[in-house]
Formats: sequence, structure tokens, C-alpha cells
Amino acid sequence: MKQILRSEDFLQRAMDKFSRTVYALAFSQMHSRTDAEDICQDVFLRLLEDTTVFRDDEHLKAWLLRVTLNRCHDHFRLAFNRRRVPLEERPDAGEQEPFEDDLWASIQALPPKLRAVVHLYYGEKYSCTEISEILQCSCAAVHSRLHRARKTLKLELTEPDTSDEEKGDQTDGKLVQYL
Amino acid sequence: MENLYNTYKKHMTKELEHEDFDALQTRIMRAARKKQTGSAKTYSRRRVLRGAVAGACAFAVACGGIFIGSTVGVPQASNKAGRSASAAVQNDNWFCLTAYAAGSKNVAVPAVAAKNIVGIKGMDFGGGENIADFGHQRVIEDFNFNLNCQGQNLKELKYTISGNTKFSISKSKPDEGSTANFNNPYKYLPAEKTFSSFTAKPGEDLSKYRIHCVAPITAKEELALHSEKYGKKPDGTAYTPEEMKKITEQKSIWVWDPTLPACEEIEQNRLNQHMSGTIISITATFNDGTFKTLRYQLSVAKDYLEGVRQLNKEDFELEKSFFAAPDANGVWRTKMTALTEKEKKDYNAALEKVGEDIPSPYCISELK
Repeated sequence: MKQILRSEDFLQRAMDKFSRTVYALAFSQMHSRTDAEDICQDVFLRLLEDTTVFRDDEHLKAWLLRVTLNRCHDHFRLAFNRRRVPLEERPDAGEQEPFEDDLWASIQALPPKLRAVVHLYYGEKYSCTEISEILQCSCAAVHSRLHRARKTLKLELTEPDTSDEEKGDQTDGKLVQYL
Repeated sequence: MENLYNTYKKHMTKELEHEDFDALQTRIMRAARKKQTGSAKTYSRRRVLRGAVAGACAFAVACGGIFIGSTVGVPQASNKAGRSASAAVQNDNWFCLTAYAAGSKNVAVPAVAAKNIVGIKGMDFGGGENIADFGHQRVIEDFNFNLNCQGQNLKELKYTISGNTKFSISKSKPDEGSTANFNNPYKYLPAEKTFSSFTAKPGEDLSKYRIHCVAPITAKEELALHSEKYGKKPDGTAYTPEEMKKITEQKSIWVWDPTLPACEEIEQNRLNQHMSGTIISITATFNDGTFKTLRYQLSVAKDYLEGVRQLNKEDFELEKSFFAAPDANGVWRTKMTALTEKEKKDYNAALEKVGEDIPSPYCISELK
């Protein structure tokens, strides 16, 4: 029996609407364009084979994000993917503002679970309840992860060993401004 | 808080600017098409490389194991790493061609389908065509074929035909009998009135659709087929006026020739061989947007001509009993009176039984 697949039109519409969203989440998780592209392809091919009846676009988007995260986790589990390329080696690393660069680097240094929550909250502007549905965990867990992420970022971006209190205050002030 | 939103957005926008989404979408679409056409699974280049390395490592380990095993005399463990049975597809979407009815979940599969080939009972070889209207050296036939499908959650069905045949539309329904087709104007459709695909909704009446076949014949075959029309014998020599009178007279005499006339054999041979190999692809779109394509091939059975002869004979005898009557000299001639309603009903009922005990000369098989 042949496998039942969705139509090309359906796939094209889904890609037109959500390929950027899927790619952005994959990229935020993987730090690599190649991996993000691979995951993006895997996710949409899964959509092709999947038989879920989607209520609306939001349902489809949530499904895509969920599958993207699962694929990212699968990717992390593979030994081949445990290698990391330092962010400094990225060709476009110097294009950003110094503090933004630090902030971004700190976000990328977060554990994947926390990073996913940060991306969904700040990047996709989902509420904690919506994130809990996508991640299939409790709302309290999302709050907790978001809190831990913020705390980690605060620690990362504050220089504890600096003797220049003024500088420390300035950085802390910026962080407060951002968080 | 708002600033982190903005910073995050700004950063992601910058990152996404570098990505060529058109190329990515093209790549995904290409992979999707490969999946749809049943090609091998698509993997990213990196994944292929990893697979190759992993395979090489596994091979090296296996070779090492065998080498060590054989060196120290340890018996080789049999490979019992069982293959887990593939999970059953939990999906209520299904469909199949009713005439074939194999491979579906809820339909009784005919025993003959186990051989992956099914005789087509619902396919008729009508008869009667008028090549004079469409130029010479070709014979035309519209095959009746039951295109109905059965299934669940069906939204739409798209039928596509390939090979030497096309679809056409007839206003005569198959149950009106072969005689109704003689005067059917849709039977002689010009090429532009035929089509290679159409879409239907589930439950729609598809009995108007025919498989339209136009087979080429040689000039010699054409003469043999229509010798009477051209006033010439099949060998090309002209009929004498006496011979022509006898032929005209014989037209109203119902005598079955057990060896089919050569012209009919030519016609049926050409049409059947031309139709054989026709592939009907049916793509079902389900309510959830998924779709599935099945392909069926039509062909003639090896001994189809024998079957056609028997069918024709039974059909001839049936028509003789309804449409002819013996004259004062005991010669069967065509009745000049029309059938009554009861006779029509009886005729149609009897027509359905024609060829019931004869193996179908036409076969259908599902292409994998």
C-alpha cells in the first residue's frame, strides 16, 4: 500500500507561511545554517507524511514548532552533532553591536531547553500558556525555564571580577534594561 | 523587556536575511516530489556522509568480530537482531477502484485478485463504428468501463489516462445495451473532444465516461472491413450487381457465422491490441488534504479473441431472440415493430447475464 502524502499545494502554502519560523527556531537551537536547513527539510517532509488534521494555521504552526524542537533534540542526541563551532568563528559575528553580540552569545550558550523557551517567548512572542502547549509541559515549567534563562543571562552578562564598579553598573544597567 | 524582544527580533531578522528561502523551499519541494514518486528516501548530504562513515565503522567492527571469533574458535552468534515489524498505519483514509477492489481495507478482495490481475466484467466491447466520418484507415471504439471507486474520507478523485487511449463522454449508459451505441453521436468524437484527465466528486455518476480508442488499420484491412461500403471485395475486386443485391438481402437475415467474419476479427484485434496497456491513474484527495495515487493497467487476456467470439455469439443469440422473427419461409428477419416496455426490461435483464460464464477477455492489474 502506497504511503498517503499531503498535496504539493498544501506543502507549498505551509512553507510560504512558516518556513522562516521553522528555520529561525532551528537556527536558534542549532547555531548552524546547514543544520537548520536540514532540520527545516526534515520537518516539512514529516508534514508531508503526517496525517494530523489541522484546525487552523495556528495549530499547524504549533505542530511545526513542536516537530522542529523534536528534530533538534534528535540532532543533539547524535554523537556527530555534539561538536560546536565557536561563535567567534562565525563570519558575521562582528557585524553586531558589542552588547547585542554578547547577549546573543549568552542566549546561544543557554541549555537547549531554556533556549527554546527564550526563542518562543521573545522570538515568536508566544505566551507562557501557549509555549507550555507547544512544549507539552506545564505552564509553571515554562515560567521556571524563562526565569532560569533570565537569571543565567544576567550572570553571564554581569562581569563579577571587574574592579571598575562603574563599568559593572553600566553593564548591569543595560541588562536590566533588556530583561 | 521590550528591548529584548526588539533585540531578538533584530538579530533574527539579520540572520534570516542571509538565508535563501527560495532555494531552501525548492530543495524541500524536490525532496517531497521524490517521496511522492516513491523514490529512495532523501537525506541531507551531511547525513549521507555520516551514514557512510557509520556503515564503514559497523562493517569494520563486524569484520573484526568475525576475525577474532574465527581466530579463537568462538562459535559465531547467529544474527537474531530481529527486524521489528513496521508499525501499522493508523489512517482511515483509503480508496480503490471498485472493478479491482484489491488492496483496500474494508473491501472483500476477489480470489483472482491474489494473482494481482482481475478480469473486467464491466468492460464491454460494443461494436459498430463509422470510419467514413473520420477519415480512412482507422477503427474507433468507446469501451465501457466502470470507473467508480470506493473509499473513505474521499474529497475528490482525479482520473488520468495514458497509453493509446483517451477518455470521452457518452450520453448512452452502459445498461442501454450495445444497440443503443450504434446511433450514439458521442461515439465518434473528434480528437479535440477527447481528454486525458478529469476530476470527479465521490458518488458522482461516472457511467458516461468511456475509454476512447482509435486504432490505425491498413488500407487492405479497411477494404476488408468495409468492402460492402466501397462496393469491392476484400481482395480489391469489385462486386457484381448480383453479389451486391445478395449482400443487401442478407443484411436482414439472422445467421450466425461461427467463425467470425474476417473484418470483425481485424477490427477487434486492432482495437484490443491498441487499448491493451492503457494505464488509468487515480489520485484521491482526502478530506484532510492528504492524497494517494493508484495506477491500474488494462490489458487483454491471452485468449481474449476466443472470449470475444463467445460473447459476440451470446449477444447475437440474445438480439436475435428479441429483435428478429422468422418470416413465412422460416428465415429469421429483423422485426419491424419496436420492443414493448416489458420486452425492453427483459432484454436488459438478459443482457446483463451475457458472458457471465465466459472468462473476461479483458484484465486489470494494479501497478506498484
